Amino acid sequence: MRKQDIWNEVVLAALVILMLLPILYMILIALTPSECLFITFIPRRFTLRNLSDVFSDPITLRYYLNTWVIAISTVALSLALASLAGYGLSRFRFKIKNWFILGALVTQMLPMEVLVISYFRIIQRLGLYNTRVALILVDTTITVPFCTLMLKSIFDGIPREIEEAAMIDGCSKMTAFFRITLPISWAGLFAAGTFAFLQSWGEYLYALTLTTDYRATPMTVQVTKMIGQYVTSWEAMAAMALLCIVPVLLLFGLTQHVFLQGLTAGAVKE
Amino acid sequence: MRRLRESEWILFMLPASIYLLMTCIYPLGSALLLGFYDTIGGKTVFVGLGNYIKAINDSALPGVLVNSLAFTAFSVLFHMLIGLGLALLLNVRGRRRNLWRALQLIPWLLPASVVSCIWLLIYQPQYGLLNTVLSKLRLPFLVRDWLGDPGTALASVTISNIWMGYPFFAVMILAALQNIPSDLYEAARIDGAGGWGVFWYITLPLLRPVILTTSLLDIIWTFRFFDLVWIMTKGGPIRATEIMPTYVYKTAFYNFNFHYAAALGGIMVLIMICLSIGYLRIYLSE
Repeated sequence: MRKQDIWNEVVLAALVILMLLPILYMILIALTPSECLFITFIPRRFTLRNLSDVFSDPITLRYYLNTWVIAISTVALSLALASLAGYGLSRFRFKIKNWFILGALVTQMLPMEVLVISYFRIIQRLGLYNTRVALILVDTTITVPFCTLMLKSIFDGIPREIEEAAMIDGCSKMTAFFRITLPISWAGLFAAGTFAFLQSWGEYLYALTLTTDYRATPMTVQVTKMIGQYVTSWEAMAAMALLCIVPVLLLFGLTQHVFLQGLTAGAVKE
Repeated sequence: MRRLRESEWILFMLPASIYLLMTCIYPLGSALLLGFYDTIGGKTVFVGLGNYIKAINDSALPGVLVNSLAFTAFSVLFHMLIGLGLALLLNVRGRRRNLWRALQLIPWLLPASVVSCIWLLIYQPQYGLLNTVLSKLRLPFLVRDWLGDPGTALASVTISNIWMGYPFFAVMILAALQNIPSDLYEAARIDGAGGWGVFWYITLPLLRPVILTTSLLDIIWTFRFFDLVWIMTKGGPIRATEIMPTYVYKTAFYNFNFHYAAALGGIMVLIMICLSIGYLRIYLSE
């Protein structure tokens, strides 16, 4: 390595680590026993008590379970809708195709504060207020447009010849899609799935408005209700926040390569 | 391509289209429609532009718009600058580059509520990280209630938003940097350009499209971003951090004035349509 490259990496490492310090700070607080809190940056003693407290309380555990149920269901529903639409945009030529692409771009830009006014009324009328189903339905609205564009660009990269061979044997496009294209684009599905997971896992506004209690509220909303409820218990809040970021980091760690590819492909035109 | 069964595209497009029509277009339309009605004496009456005229005369609205503008402008500007710097640092061959690229993205991946909790801890007035560090550095005159002081609240919230947003710029700009052919740099160097010359005359002009599209996308996202401000300050103290999203939300769900909230939302939509047209023109022309 040249000397300049070494300096470059030192500066880069310092910057990245500095920017990650706030997260480290929160993780340390989550692992600090309450009597040692805010005395030193790195606590004198560590404890898993704050984390085990979350799991020993059935109500708190339910918040966590809600987050998982909502995120996983949203991923499944989004991938089902977006892979079909992404394939349609990638493989067919039709007159109004550009309108669909435009629609996918525009629906990503709508102000959620306006939509939530309607959602509040509609969800109540449907009797879905304070249910996880309601959140799955509205979260999918956020993820489908971007996942569609992401999967379109991934299908664009898969040669048509593979499917055409199957279609000569009498397969319809739909069969070719399910039997051939979908299985070989698993990496792209992971990328889009990761995106949908992150979006629904972290969604706040809809969850805040459409739920009231443990039956449907996700942990990501409940954690903010810890603030100033009685006296803020910072170590309990940090423990809940830590549980909210562990799945995010693990999933990203597993899929980061395809995720980063899909992210830039979906947002920048290929 | 075989022309046979070409209409099969409808089968592929139908599920997502119907879904978004029901869960996105219809709710948007019905919310906007709500803005043209009002409840007078227990009855819902069509009032035309009445709510919009009320908004023009709303003495709180100019301040809210200014806050929104400042929050959005400073967030996006620093997202772009920090992201550009990081992308340039990341665009050097090295074995660990993928590791740094992944690590730097982490703040962007976190749920907004977790980011808010982290920064509430940092800004916490008695024993938060920021005030502790400031008093250790013997700068006690800087110690303050960052989120409780109307003079610093908006800046503090904006800084936490900058922290969670710049990584997206970094990955987008990095992807564009990696597409610049290296012979362009060589040619510039042979012509005698130094490091700054190459950056100014080769790199920056080639990055222009990605910087423009990402900035516009980020402007739109930041302008409608509710979570962080709501969790950290609820728009307070005394409207110091009130932005359009929190104002619309309060009008709808604290004052239960859905009609006026919908009209305020209509104003947001108008602003975002203007921004979106700008974005789409660049996106579709590049």
